[in-house]
Amino acid sequence: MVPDLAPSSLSFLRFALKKRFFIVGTNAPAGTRFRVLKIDRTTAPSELSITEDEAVYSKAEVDDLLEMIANGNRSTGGMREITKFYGIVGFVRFTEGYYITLITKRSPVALIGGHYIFHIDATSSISIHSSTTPTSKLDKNSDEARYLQMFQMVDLTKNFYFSYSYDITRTLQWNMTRNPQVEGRNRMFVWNQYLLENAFGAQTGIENQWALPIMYGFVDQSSRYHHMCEVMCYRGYCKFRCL
Amino acid sequence: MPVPEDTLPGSLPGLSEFSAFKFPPPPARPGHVVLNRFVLYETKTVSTQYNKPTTASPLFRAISYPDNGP
Repeated sequence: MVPDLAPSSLSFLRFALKKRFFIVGTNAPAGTRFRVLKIDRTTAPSELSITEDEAVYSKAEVDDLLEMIANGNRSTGGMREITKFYGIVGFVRFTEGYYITLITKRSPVALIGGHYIFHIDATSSISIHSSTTPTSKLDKNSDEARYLQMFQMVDLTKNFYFSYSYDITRTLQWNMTRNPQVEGRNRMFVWNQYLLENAFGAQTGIENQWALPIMYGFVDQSSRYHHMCEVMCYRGYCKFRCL
Repeated sequence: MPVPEDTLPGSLPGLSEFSAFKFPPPPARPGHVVLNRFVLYETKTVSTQYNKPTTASPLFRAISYPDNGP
């Protein structure tokens, strides 16, 4: 039997255990096929544990899966939706745990042969290993806060573009004459290559189904002539290409 | 002097002899789904609070509760 302890003799240690993130992706607007990505939040801050569910679910199946996960975690509070988003920019770590950066707003800027090109309008960074609001518990004078602030100085809402189905890292000529499924994307113009490789592997990270390569540059489409001009930067090295 | 034929708005004169571009289809690897909308879920937080005596006693008490706060 544990004896009563006088309050004055107690000190308190509080541990918060955040368990997992689940990301459910779908082929909107049809919404007929779903995939699930699991991110373990209980690992050491230096580790990133991501599990891809190989299954492709139907709407009913993914609803059942989410209900099962919620029921399985009911004793500890269940499951809640954090946010809806349109793509994963990548994962980054400074001195503590990882952050995931998500595209939360987008707008279509061009249409190439049925393939939409989107501009990134808003992003959000969420801490994986601590609070879901990255700056809420950070000491403002800490190295972590300083590095995070520096990272967020890169304004992803200006001149960053992506496409779900068209390889914008290649020229139109390349995409018309080569097999992009075999040769893959041009790493030189994938701005978030390293952010994606943190999670999905060094060699195949940007080809992963969950990875969304983004391009820094410029995309425009006039109503009379379909004209695209890209200005791309890669690790401080700039190239100018026209499609 | 030859007069160019009228062209439809938005079309380029003199290019009608070229066939239309055939663009590559979306990725079609086996089992590859073009994911373009996502939802992030979080299994809720469990907070564990330990009562640690400040004396030399080795006794601890713990309470766990879901952390449903913002």
